[in-house]
Amino acid sequence: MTSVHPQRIHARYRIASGFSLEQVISAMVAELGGGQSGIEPEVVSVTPIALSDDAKPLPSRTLRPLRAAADVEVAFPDALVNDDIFTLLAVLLGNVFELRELGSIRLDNLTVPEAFASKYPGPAFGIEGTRALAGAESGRPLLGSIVKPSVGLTPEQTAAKIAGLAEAGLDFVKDDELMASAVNSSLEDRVEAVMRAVHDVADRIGRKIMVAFNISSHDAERLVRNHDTVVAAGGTCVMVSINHVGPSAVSFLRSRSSVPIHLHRNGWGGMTRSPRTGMSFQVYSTIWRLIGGDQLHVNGISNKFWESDDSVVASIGSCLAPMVPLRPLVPVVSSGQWGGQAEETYRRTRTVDLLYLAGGGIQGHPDGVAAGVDAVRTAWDAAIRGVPFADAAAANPPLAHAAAMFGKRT
Amino acid sequence: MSEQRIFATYELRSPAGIEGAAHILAGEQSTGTFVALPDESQAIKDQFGSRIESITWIDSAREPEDRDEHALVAMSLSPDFINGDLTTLLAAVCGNVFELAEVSAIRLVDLDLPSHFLDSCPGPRYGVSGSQDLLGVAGRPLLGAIARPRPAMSEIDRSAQVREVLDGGMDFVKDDEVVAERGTDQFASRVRAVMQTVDEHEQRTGAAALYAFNISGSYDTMRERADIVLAAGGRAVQINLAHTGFSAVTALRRNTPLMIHGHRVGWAAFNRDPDFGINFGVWQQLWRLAGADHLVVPGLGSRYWQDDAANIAAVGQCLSQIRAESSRDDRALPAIGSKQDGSKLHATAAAVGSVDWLLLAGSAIFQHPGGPRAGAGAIRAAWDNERQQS
Repeated sequence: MTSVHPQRIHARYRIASGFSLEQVISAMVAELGGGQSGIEPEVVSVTPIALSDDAKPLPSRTLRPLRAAADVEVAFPDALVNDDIFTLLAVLLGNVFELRELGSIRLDNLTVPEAFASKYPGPAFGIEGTRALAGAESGRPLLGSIVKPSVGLTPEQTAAKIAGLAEAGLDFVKDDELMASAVNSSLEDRVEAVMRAVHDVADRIGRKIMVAFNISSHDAERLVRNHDTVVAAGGTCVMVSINHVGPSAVSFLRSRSSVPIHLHRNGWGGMTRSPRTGMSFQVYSTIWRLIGGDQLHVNGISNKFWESDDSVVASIGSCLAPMVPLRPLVPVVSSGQWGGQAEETYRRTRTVDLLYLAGGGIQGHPDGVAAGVDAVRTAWDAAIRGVPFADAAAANPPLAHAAAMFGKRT
Repeated sequence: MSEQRIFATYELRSPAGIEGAAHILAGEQSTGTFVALPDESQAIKDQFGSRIESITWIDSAREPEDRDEHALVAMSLSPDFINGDLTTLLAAVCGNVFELAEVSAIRLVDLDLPSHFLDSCPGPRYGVSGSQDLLGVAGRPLLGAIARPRPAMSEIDRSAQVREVLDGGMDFVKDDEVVAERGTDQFASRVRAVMQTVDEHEQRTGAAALYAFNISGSYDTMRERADIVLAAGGRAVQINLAHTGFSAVTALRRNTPLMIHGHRVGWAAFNRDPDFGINFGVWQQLWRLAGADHLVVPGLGSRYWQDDAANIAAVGQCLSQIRAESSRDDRALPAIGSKQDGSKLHATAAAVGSVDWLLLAGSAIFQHPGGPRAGAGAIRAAWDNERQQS
């Protein structure tokens, strides 16, 4: 649907209104361009769509029954945005969403020309860099876990847990997003205890698990100091709750970071779940790829949350889509995962350039953590080789036990 | 352990049942996941777990066939993992809970933060009284202009325009939220030219004035621009809050003495649908804690979607202490914009019940037939004249 204008930034909104399309689009253009000649966006296409019967309008002081809906694609002149992503955000996701004439407005698609993307760093490591630091061979997804319970463990307990996961051969483990610096687990103490354990295991098995420490802080300078603490201890990844820390501080971190940045999207549901407003993951992942983290959460097939499998598959596609000259993002597949979803994930995406995380699925495995890791690895190996899940589970008791425990739940 | 807990109230709709959804919500925002784990001990749950404090049922089926349960659910959270950090607080109260499959609507409608949490955040440096004192204004609203035209500002010499609106009686001028700055050098020369005009005005008239430069960008860019503003004698900056983020705003508040004019651009994109997101009353508290001195809100008869009652309520929220008993003044100065002009001044003062706010006018000044000075003068005169008559 998006027409090709490689020289300009294009955005596609889905709108509905109780006013005529002509009226409401003219209000949108005026708001997007500040009512100023020379910098107004150009309406590239208007594709009317049928109003669904149950469509209900957003609140407005001039509420009218909906009468028209359309996909509206606009292109922005250089002078409006001037290669500045913060200006772009102020335009794209700005006061246009406040217009009283709109009964719904959602930003569905964003494409930026190569000249714009070239101004931004993008992912520094991507899949190859992540694999190299985790010592994981190509041809399969990176396999990982999330320390559970989410909060409550002491640094020593966290370290012991991560040592067990590393011994079992995982590539990656991360803090939960709720665990930043707790009263019984400051980041400094946790980094020290965990990295000591990580190095002990690495000395024995010859591979160093990648640990994504949650360095989120409401102070950008503290965020970067936290990164320095992780790197000084030999850590190879940092995690940030990007919606709360925000683009400015993540951009700052990107310019200072010497390890991959794990982008945790918690809060994303509040930005996309309404069908009447917000934005799509395609837009969200485009913005964060420009700002430049490495690994971005996409939820998972048969997840524990609201999101459909189709939406998850589309999100994986958005992370991996070409965006010259930037590297792809590593899609982080997680939520309710235990290995059983590997077959469907691979069938639908045909990629192994993923980070696949099982938290409860590994740490809640009835036969223990090592069996949980074995189950996930076996499931992925079968999926890639085209072995049906039932056959793989019949030949591998840990996978069979995982299916018995988690299969009905997800 | 256990200082006072943090309370968060959600409005939920659930086809699966509110009570079940609330239990899953409690687990998701603290110690739980989709399966029970051997080491999620009772001690951990006791110290770190979220609790359902109350469920207040609402009887409001939207259609006859609507079977969703609807309620206000008050949760309390442990301060022991949130540990005084805004981003960890948000990960818990506005994080994966918004993805719960068991609800068809989830909105954070109220947040009750204990004083120890407030104390761990910087809060506004100037706020209401600091802004009024700096400008030497009492007994009337502060009067401000939004510089026009908006983008590509750096190419335009603003000095003459700034001089005119200050001569016309404005206290404050600010950039638009869309600026499209053309590099550091251009920003620096723009700032120096504007500040020279402001300084001349202050020396000539003895009246103080402020210009808020939009420095929204990556944090290192914001620090660089903040230093440029300070070096030129500037005292205020504008930040697009939602698009820059809490970590940049808090760090700027801590590391510079600048007044932070917080623009709410972007709030509506994720919060206009009443089924999702967070209420403005919650949102504005969080930004005040991060350090915003001013918060932009639409005023009476704005061109946007909210009605006058909602806009005046938002002004009132900015002007209320987060905790009534706080010794620290954490109120933010409401900056009332969107289609404002002199005719709305007294009605706004009456509706708000005070003059503790800043009026922001754009077109009324810059499209005035007599020019910006006349446009600014008309606003100032509107306040003075009506007050004399009443």
